Amino acid sequence: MKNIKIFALLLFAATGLLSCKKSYVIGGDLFKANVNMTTYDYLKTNHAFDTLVIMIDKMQLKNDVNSSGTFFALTNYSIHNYILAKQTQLQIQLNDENFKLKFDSLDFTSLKDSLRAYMFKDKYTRDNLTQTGVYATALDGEKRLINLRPTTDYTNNIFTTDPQYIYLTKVLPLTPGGPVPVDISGVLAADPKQLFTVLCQTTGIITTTGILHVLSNNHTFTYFDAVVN
Amino acid sequence: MKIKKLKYTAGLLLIAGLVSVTTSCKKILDLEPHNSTFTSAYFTNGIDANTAIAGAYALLRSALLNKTSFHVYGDATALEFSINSGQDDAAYNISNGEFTGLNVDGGFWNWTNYYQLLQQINLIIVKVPDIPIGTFANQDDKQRIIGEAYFLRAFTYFYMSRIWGDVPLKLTPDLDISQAKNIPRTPAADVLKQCLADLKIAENDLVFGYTDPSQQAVRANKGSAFALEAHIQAWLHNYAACDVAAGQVIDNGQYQLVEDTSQFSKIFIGKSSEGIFEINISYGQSEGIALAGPNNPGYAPTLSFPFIYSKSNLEWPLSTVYIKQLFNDTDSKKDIRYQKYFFQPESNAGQTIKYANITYADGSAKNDPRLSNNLNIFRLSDIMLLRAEALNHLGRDAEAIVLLNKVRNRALVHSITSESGDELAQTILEERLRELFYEGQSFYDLVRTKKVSNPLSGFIDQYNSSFSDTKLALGANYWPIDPAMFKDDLTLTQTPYWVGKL
Repeated sequence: MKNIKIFALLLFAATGLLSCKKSYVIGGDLFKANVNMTTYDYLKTNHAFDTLVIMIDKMQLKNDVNSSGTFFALTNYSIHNYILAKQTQLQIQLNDENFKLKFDSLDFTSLKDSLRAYMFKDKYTRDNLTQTGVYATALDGEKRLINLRPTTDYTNNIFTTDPQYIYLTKVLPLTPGGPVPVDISGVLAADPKQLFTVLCQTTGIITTTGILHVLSNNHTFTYFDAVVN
Repeated sequence: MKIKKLKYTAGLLLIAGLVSVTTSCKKILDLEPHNSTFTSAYFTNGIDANTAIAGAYALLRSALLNKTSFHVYGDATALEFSINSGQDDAAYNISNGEFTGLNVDGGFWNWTNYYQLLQQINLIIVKVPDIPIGTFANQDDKQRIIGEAYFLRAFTYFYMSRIWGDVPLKLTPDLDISQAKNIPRTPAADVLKQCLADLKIAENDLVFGYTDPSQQAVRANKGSAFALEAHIQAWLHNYAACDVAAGQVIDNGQYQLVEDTSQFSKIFIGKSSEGIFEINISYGQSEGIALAGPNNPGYAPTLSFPFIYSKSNLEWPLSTVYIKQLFNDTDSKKDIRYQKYFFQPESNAGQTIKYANITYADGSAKNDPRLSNNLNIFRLSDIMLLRAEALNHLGRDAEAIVLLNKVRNRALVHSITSESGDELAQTILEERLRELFYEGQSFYDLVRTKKVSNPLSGFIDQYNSSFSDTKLALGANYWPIDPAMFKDDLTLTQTPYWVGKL
C-alpha cells in the first residue's frame, strides 16, 4: 500500500517534470513590437516595401532612414499611386495621352527631400501622442501634424473610450501660395480643407534604430493628389 | 352565535358575487379597444385621414432610406464613386453593373416595402372619400389628402418602374387577407400610363404653395405633382408634355432658386425656396438618422472625419476620374458646386458633403452622430434642366439655353452662348450630372438620354460607366427581383435580363 502511494507520487512528479516542455503556442509566438534589426534592414525583409527600398538605395538615404527616430514607411502602392498621378499630369503637360511614366525615369535626386519629409528626429509612439498631436519638423524642414484620432470602426461605440489610430497630416495653404500654419495652434485654427490626413495602417514597430509606422496603401507619395489643385 | 353570523355573511356575499358575475361585464367585454386601427373602426374622421397620410409618408421614407437604396439605385450605378470593395462590397459590385454580384443581398431586389406603402395609399384612396367632410378640422384637408395619396401612388409606381421595369399594378387595397390575389407583372408602359392618370387627379385636388410653412416640400402639392409628371413624360420621351408640365412648375409653382451662395447648404437641409418634394429628416423633430452605434442602421457612406468625428472609413470616396471629367472647364474650380458639394475632391479620399448636417446627440463626446438633412427628390434646378432637355429635343434650343444658363450662373460659371442639337443635349446632361450629384438622379439621366430614334446611341458610353448602350438595350439597367418572392407567388417572372443569372 505504501509502495503504491510512493509510486503514484513519483508518477505525478515525473509527469510534472517531463510535460509542458514545448510551447503550446502554435503558428508563431507572442506579439513583440521589437524587431532585432535596423529600420532599413527590416524594410528589406518585407515585400510590401520593395519599391521603397529601391528608392532609398537610389537616393542613398539609407543613413537618413536609420538615423531617424520615427519613419513613416510607404508601401509599394503609395509609390505606384504617385507614378500614376504624375503620369496623368505629364500626359496633360506634354499633350500626349499615351505617355507612360516609368519608376526608373523618376528624378530621384530632386525627390530626396520628399522622402525625408516622412522622417523625424524624435520618436513618436502611441504613448507620447495625443488627439491634438504634435506639429513636428521632418528631416527636410517641412512640418507635419502627427496625432491620434478616435475611431468607431469595428467597435461601434461598445467601449466608453474609443480606440485610436495614428494619422500623419500635411497642412496645405488655404489658397495656392498662401501661408501655412507655423505651430500647433495655427493647425488647430486651420480650415479642415487644408488638412490632408493619412491613416497609419500599421504602427509602433520598434527597430534597433527607431520607430516605424506604415502609411495606408491609399496614400500617394508626396501627397501629390492633394497638391495638384 | 358568532358562527351563525359568519355563515350568514358568507352566504350573502356568495349571492352578491353570483349576481354580479352574471349581470356585469356585458358591456366591458363588448367594447372595442379605443385605439383600434382595423379598417372598419378606422377612417371615420378627419384626424384618421391625416394620420393615415402621415403614415404613408413615413412608409415612403423607410422604403427609400432602407439600405441607402435611394443612392445605390441612382448614384452608385452611375460610377460617381470609386466604391471601396473592402468596406462596401455590395455597392462596389453594383457600381460595376453586377446587380447579382457577390454580397449583393436580396434587400435590393425585394419590393415588399413598396407594396406595404401602396397598401396604405390604396386604403386612403378607397376610404377617405367616404369620411364626412364635417369631421375635418380644416375642410380643405379632405381633397388635399386624396390628392396627396394619388401623387404618392404615382411616385411609388414610377420609382419602382425605373428600378424593375414591369411591376405588378395593384390599385385596390386588400381588405381581407384571405381574399388577397397574386397578380403578374404589368408592362412598364401600362404602369406609367396609370401614373399619369393618377397625377391628373392629384393635380386637380392639390394647390400650388403652402399655407403651413412646416409642410413646405415635405408634403406634396400641385407643384410636386407637375414635377413628377415632367419626370415621367421625359422618361417616356414625350418631351412636348414634359415641357408643359415643367412649365407649370417653373411659372406657377412659386419656387425660387437659392441665389445666395452662403445659403447653399440650406438646400440640402431642406424646406428651401427651391425644394419641390423632399423626404423629411430632421434631428430637431427627433427624425434624424442615427449614424453610429450597434443598433443604428444609419449609413453615410460618403462621409467620414471631420464631418463624422469618429468615423475613419470612407466607403464611397469620390471617383476622381468622373469628377475630373465633369469639372474640366477653365472656370470649373470657381464652380460653387465644386467647392460646396465636395471635400478634398482631388484626393483619393474625396467626400461628398451635400448631406453633412450632423448633430451629436451626446454633445462634446461626439460619439452619437445624427444626420439632419432632408432627402431631395425634386427641386427647382432639376426641373429647369429637365425642361431645357425637353426644349432641346423639341428644337427650341434658344429657350433651352436660357434655362441652362440660369442654373449655370447661379453656380458662378460662365454662360453657354452658341450650342445646339446633340452638343447642347450633352451640355445639359452634364449640367444635370454636376447639379444633381448624389441626388439619386444621375443613373436615370444617363439611361434616359439615349436617342429616341436610335436606342443604341446615347451618352452613357462616354462616362466611364459600367453600362453601355448595348447593355441598356438588353435591359441590364433593370434590377432582378428577389427569388424569395416567388415562393408564395407563382405568377411572378424574373426580370428578362437576369433570367438564369441569379
